[in-house]
Amino acid sequence: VKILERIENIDRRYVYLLVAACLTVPFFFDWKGAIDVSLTTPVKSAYDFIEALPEGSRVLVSFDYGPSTLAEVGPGAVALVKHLMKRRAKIVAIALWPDAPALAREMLPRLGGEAGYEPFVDWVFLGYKYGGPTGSGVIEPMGTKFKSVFPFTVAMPGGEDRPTSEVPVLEGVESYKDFALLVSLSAGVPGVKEYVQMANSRYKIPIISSVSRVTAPELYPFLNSGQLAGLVPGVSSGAEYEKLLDQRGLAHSIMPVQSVTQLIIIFLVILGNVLQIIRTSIR
Amino acid sequence: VFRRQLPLLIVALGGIVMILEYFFRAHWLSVAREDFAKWARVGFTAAVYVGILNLAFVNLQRVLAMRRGWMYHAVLLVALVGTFLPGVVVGWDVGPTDWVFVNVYTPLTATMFGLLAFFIASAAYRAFRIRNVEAALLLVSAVVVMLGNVPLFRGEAATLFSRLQTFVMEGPMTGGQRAILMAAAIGAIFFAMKILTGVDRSYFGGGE
Repeated sequence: VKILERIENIDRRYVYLLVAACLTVPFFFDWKGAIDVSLTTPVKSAYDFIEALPEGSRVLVSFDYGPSTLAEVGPGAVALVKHLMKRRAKIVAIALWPDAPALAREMLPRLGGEAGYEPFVDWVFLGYKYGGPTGSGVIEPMGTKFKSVFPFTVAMPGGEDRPTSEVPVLEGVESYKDFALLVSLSAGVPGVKEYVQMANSRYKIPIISSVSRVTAPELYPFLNSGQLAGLVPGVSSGAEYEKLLDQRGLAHSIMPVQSVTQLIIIFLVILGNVLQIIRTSIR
Repeated sequence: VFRRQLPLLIVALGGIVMILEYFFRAHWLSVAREDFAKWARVGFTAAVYVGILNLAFVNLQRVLAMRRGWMYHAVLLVALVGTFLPGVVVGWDVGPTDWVFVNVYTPLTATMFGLLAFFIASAAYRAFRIRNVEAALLLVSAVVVMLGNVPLFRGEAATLFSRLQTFVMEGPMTGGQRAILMAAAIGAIFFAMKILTGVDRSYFGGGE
């Protein structure tokens, strides 16, 4: 019994060491080929919706995550934006999080360059705007006076600010009705939930989102009700999207690490319970 | 009057305009709503600066008084000034501000988030125990969802785990979440009514 108690109360640093090993060892092997994700309905719905968009559709992309959740949201976000560019969608990007513009400024010119996109003509970034704790000060007025919320674009490295009234990709844009889709790359509040509540419920703009895995459960009711057209939660869904695009990218690189760590956590949970059951039955 | 009645009136008016504008189409309502939205944006932004000033003063006082842990407050002040001033002077997306974002802020926040894996593993081993039926259900659901996220399995096992995960996520989990959402929404409506009618004045502060 004492031995079992000692194992149960093992120094937490040994557990940390085990997790550290699981997090680092898979990086030394190329396990991309071992990853074979099963497609889930929310991801397939997102893919099908974008695939059905007419070429040249205007899409609003909202960057609502920061560097802390980059590893979780990033792979799905990159896959979604790549797909939009593959469909030749016109991208209008904004940010509801103050630390998101740096991520947008890195992602959009890079992916835009690969896809042969021209700034201001095929894509534009309008920067960050503070809309209060729930983003209502931005999300709600974009439904009627889009350009008054974002009067200027944000300069990309080597570029300059421009009034939004002079930007070709924003020609004729007044509200959500001028967008075929809203893609929220979201890791919390304000984010996709607020867009569903304020933009979709009132202005009926279809919404697809790449979110962190912990955010996903509270969004499933919106998928079920049709208020979300698709959902790409976490790295595993990012890998699903890459599979649909036939591109094994960042998500496939991260998945082995995440998979091994999750298996270890499952093992630890089961081990802890088995030890407890044996100990109590001996007593 | 100006300290109590006027703010109450503005809040009630703003809320009523927003509600009416949602249900009725009238030009003057749209204009009023847009004006209130502009006020809100300006107010939110001004509040951020008030917050920054307050943060700076509180921490400066602690540093000057050399209270216990004053060095942590000093670090906060240095970080605040070190990122804010270059941002104002040079620009937000170039030079020192961008350098701090890429080389300090990004790795720090990513590390903080990454540490969760260690804490979750340790907590799961020590605390996630089957003590009753509810805990057993929780554990089985958690294991099923996690296994569904592990794409290292092949064939029948992969299909089974994926289907089980879909069942948990789209069945019991969605139902539970929907109940929580609806209950929270009803609560929010009643809370909003209390604020609009002036019954709840806690947002005034001052301990009332």
